[in-house]
Amino acid sequence: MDVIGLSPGPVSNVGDRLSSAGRELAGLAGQTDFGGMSEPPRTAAALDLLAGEWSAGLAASGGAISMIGRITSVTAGLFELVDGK
Amino acid sequence: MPDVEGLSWPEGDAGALESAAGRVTRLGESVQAAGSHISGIASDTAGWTGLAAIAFSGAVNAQRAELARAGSGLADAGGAVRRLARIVDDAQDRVRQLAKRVREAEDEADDAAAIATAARATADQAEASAAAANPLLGSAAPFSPEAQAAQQAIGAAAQAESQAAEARARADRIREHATARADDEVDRVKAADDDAAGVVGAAIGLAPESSAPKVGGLPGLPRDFECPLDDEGFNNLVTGMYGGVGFARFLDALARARSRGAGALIHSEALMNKSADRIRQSVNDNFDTCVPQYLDPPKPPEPPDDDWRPEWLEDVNEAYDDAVEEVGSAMDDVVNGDNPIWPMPGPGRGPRPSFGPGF
Repeated sequence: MDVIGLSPGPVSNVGDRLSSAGRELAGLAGQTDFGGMSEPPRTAAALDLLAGEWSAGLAASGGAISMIGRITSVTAGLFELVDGK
Repeated sequence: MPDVEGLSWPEGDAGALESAAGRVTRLGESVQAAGSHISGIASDTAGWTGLAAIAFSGAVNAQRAELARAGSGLADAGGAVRRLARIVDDAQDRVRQLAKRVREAEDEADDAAAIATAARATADQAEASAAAANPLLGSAAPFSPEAQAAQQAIGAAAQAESQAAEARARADRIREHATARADDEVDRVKAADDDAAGVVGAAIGLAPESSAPKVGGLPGLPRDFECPLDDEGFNNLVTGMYGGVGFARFLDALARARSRGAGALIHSEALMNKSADRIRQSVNDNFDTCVPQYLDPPKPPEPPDDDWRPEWLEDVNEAYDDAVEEVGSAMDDVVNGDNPIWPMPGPGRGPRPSFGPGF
């Protein structure tokens, strides 16, 4: 069963661009500097939590997208190796 | 906290809140833009067909949708914090105005009291003067000029004391009113704080999942992969199939070896092709199993078992591990000079290719 069609070049390019976009997204984790207040208490605490969760979340999400891109490039590379001969 | 005449003060730094709101909003816009950018990139995969392509689209769309939701949550949070900043600013301004009125009323009362005290002292002095001027008649000489002056001074003092009492009563009423209003402003800020915290809390819940798939080196990457087959299905599907980043490093090692002029890796590359074919076959063999799992994910056993993974992933693992062992061993032979097809034996053959961890 051969269910796969793939043009390695374009797909690899998409993977590389996705990886780059993922790294840029992860870079946004540095922009979560909205905590550090003490008043009003509930919002100040929520902003602290927001900063922490989003810092970790953006790094993770960026990493996941970057990984999807990397895997996509690898997929293209794999098929180039197998089908390009 | 400024001097507000002892009134309650709605705590908060409106400027800092406004600034934080701006940063939250801008981050939300950046996250939404990133989602659109990612979606745009992923739309360029014309020519990639098959179930992996579907899985790829599903994974990217899931990320885009998550980023859109999350960015929208941040926009809401930024708006809520901005509203809170304005309420804090307004409440503090009102309390300052209330304190000003209290201060003015109390200053007037103090001034009136001082005037009354002075008037009473003047009256007392006038009475004493009248008594001294007519020591024998005393109050029996009410029409003497001194007595009349004393009477006028006593009347003025009484009027001043009455006005002072009224001013004090008015100041007390103003303070009582201001105290209640300031308490209301503090309550208003507390309510706004609760509201804003709720919206910010919702944005916390929308933060991208921090449980990113864990990846390891070669070999055995899929076994370190802990993400269950649910909304991160692509990561199981494709990462498991192709060995993920570990396999990427494997291919990188091959590319680096090529770039170092190790053209005699033909033997290894042939093995690589053979291994890739095996992996590809394993992938294809398992598509029918894994795609329905991706579309309709099975639930892991309860309680969640960290070792749970779909059976098909084990097949891919096995093919992958075999490939790594076979190709890695052949590459070691080549770079150690044990393989006769290495083209440049001896001192002039150049640096030993680096294949990275695992080789």
